[in-house]
Amino acid sequence: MEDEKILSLYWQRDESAIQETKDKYGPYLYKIAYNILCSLQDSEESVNDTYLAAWDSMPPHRPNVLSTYLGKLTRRISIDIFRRKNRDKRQASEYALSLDELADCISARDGGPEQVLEAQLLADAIGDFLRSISEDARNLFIGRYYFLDPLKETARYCGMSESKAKSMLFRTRCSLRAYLEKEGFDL
Amino acid sequence: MRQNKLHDALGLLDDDLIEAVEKLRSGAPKKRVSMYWISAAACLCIAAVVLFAAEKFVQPLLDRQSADGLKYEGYDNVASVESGNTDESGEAVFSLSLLLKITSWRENGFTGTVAGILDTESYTVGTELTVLFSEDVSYYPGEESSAKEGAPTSKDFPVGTTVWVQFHGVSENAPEAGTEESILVAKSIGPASLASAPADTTE
Repeated sequence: MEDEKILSLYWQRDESAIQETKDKYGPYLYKIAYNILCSLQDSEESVNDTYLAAWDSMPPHRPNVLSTYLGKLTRRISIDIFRRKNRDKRQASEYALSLDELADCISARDGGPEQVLEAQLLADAIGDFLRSISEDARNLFIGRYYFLDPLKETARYCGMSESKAKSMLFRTRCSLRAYLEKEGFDL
Repeated sequence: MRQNKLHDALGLLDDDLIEAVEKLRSGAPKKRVSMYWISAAACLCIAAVVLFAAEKFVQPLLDRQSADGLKYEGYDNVASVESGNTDESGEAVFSLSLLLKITSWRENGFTGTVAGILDTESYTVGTELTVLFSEDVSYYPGEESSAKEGAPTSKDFPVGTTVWVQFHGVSENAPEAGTEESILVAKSIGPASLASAPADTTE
């Protein structure tokens, strides 16, 4: 079913919207969740929470691209589940691995009432940075740190060797850190 | 944890950035063209490039001798140097050479972007590389010059100059560890025009 028709079901409060979403985007959302959680049970919980969040948010939201909207919900929910369940320990999930890698970019403090606004400002800055670099480097960075795909897989669909991808990611992380420092973010 | 903040921000990226990668992940091509014609066109392009490169760049290099007597040999990738390829006398045969446009100078080297491919498939035009000079590096100050021992400076090749560079291998002890493929150790450097020049005298 086309996205526009699925969105119409949400707006009409037709519960078949959930099943249509599951049929079309279930595997896509599950992969995002599993990259973060590395647990079948937790991933299922995350995806189910995504359907609920989608139902609660549409309307009033009417995203232009449903897959991206749902993917963001799943990513945020999965990261929240991960943090809640793994507050004091690490697991071998791609999210956990990415935390070590992203230490190259930023070292800001957590918490504070301005956190949400600060996150949006940071997102805007990162977006500007990503638009300034090559398409390959940008897609690689987003594939690895937004979708949290394994390095090997990210390199494959970006059309490069794993070693080249590793080098490119390292340079991108260093460049991002320099960019954020120049933009005045507290590192 | 500090990196959590970055992950939260990544979750707020603009949709168009994410959509572009979604398409890559799903393997959906932007425009579908018959694979038969894509393959045929690709083969023709590759054949044309190989013939052009062989005539323009590779053959003159194969005919030349380096300043220290090493033969020019074309290999597919840097790994062939690391595997210890040697000629009959036991001297190491260096592997790849590139045309690089210098973007900035640094201590004992420079950074540049690949401006042309000579005898390697390891890098594409536009790739940024860091070049470090080996201990026995030599260079050709100009088109009419013979090789000089030692490292060139920015006076020899100012920023913006395109040079050909022959590499000895990858640096194992480079300061920016973890970027092996972006840091190469140069054996010999010269003006780009020499890449297609006939054999020159050596010291």
